[in-house]
Amino acid sequence: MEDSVIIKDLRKTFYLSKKQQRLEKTKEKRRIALSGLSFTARRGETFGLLGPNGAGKTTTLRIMSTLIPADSGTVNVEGLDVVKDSEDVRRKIGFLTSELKLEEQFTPNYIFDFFGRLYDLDEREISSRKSALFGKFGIDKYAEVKVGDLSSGMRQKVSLVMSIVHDPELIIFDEPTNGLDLIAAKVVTDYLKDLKSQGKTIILSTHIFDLAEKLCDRVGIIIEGRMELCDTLPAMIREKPLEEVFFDLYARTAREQI
Amino acid sequence: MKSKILTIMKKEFRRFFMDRRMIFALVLPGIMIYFMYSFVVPSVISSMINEDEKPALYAVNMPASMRADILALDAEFAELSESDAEKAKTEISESDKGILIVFPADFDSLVSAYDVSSGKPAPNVTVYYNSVSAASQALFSQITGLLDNYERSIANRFDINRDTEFDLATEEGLVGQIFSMIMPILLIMLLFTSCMSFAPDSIAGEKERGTLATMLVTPVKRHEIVIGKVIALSVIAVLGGVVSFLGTALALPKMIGFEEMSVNANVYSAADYTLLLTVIITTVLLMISAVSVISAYAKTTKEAASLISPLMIIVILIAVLPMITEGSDDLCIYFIPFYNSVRCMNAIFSFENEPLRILTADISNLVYSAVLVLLMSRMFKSEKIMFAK
Repeated sequence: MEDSVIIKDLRKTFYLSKKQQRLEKTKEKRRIALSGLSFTARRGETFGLLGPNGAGKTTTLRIMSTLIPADSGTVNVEGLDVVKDSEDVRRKIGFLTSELKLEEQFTPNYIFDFFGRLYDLDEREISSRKSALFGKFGIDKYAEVKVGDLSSGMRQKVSLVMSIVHDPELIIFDEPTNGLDLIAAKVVTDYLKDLKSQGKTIILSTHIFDLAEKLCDRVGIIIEGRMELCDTLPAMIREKPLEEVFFDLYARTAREQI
Repeated sequence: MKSKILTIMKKEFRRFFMDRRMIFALVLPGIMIYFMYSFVVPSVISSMINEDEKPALYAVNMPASMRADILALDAEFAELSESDAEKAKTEISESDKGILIVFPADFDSLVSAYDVSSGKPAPNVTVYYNSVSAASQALFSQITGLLDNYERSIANRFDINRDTEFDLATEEGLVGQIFSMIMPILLIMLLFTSCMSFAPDSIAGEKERGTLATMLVTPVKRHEIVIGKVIALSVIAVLGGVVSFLGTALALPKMIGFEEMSVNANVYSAADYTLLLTVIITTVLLMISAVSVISAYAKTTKEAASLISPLMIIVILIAVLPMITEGSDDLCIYFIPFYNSVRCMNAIFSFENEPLRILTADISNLVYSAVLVLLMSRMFKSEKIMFAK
């Protein structure tokens, strides 16, 4: 299997603002988010990044999606460097988190056209992709309803569709079901299964073991900015369930005991 | 690249013009200014002057020489004896109205018998009034005016400007003077307010709502997003500013009572207006860029609004400067942002514009805007600015 994403020795440090220091009751000014993270995701597989909050999952995905630069290390996506070829990388990937929102006063129809143009699709491609995706997700009936007036499940479907307007090879999902209600979360998992069946490469971060066990081919466990364990899911859960694997590892690595 | 900037501009326009509240916010200040200045302000001023009841005018020892003039004043006239004067004073003090004139007994003969060279004090007329009442105050100036005129007429040695048109200023000069005094500061304030009401929502608001990040994961370049937004916002801000400006320009003659004097803005040529428009456009570009940089830095629309306030104070102070100081006319000053705009507007309104100076100001505004756009593109790449909580 060919490699889709190759991450080598990624490092990233943040400077905490005064407010953050106060909120987290800490005096440290610098925080290490990633300290030499490396992993590879193969084409067509679903790769899960598992880790507690603050382990560096979101940071890794944001660096992969070219949203933020790393301090050092390299990320190669589909043969392209995320720093040198950032625009081409963005053309190849679909990135979605619950933090990315759509403007509520626009209709799905308009937003689709808007993103289609930003992804350099021509009008014909936009219209054929739109009718296919809207049909598949049942958005066609709501194509002219403002996003703000849609139900949470439908809104989630619209967001998902917008991230694959350009039919990307690699789909990156940051905490895909975080903050969603049951219906919207179901929409997301069904969608991921569908993408998987299409043979797309998927990288997702999560702290929900169940989701990782259901969807992932391989799992990487990140603790304190380092890849502590990376293996195929069957190999990882040979002896004990994923949850136990994780907590044992965490107890061994984390400075503080749970 | 062009098409993506255009796509972003179109989206900004759509977002704006689809929202009735936004359109309302665009035209409302202009309409309000028009109604305030042309109806409310003049009626408040006239109600202050025309109080319903006529004020009382009391006179003691009224001389024949002044009687006709004083009776012609718009007041309830009553002649009093010297003994009643104290009572009248109390009334004026308590009721806030009226006025009392006390002439010396036999005023006319005292005046004609008085010899300046004698060195003795001249006959004295006392006028009591109450400055709290506008009517009493107005009557006081009218009466002292009458008395001064009378004094001058009995000792007339020569006249000045009798029966000739002596103010040689043209209508153009008058309009130029008034407009160059008021318009630049008004324009700068209205344009800045217009920028302030639209830019924070488009930048800080989109950041706050998470819709900007959605755009950042597409292959669009950061500077394309920034340029698209800055141009669209500038067009909207110019529209808002122009509506407010029209409201002011139409109401101003009514407000300062120049309507009858046919003072209007027709004295300016198309070339003047074109130059003014270039100054307005480059100024708005700079304002929008500055306000957008602050909005990009702010985490919320609210924070953006409070961070922009100091800038607004600085801009207004700069706009007032040419009104209070003469200032040098060195070409260098046309490189100073905002100050250059005010000076250019000033010059255009007073017919003293020099294309070179306006060009200098326009170009420097464009350069500053470009620098700010670059800065904002960099900010869009910063994690601390775009994703910090």
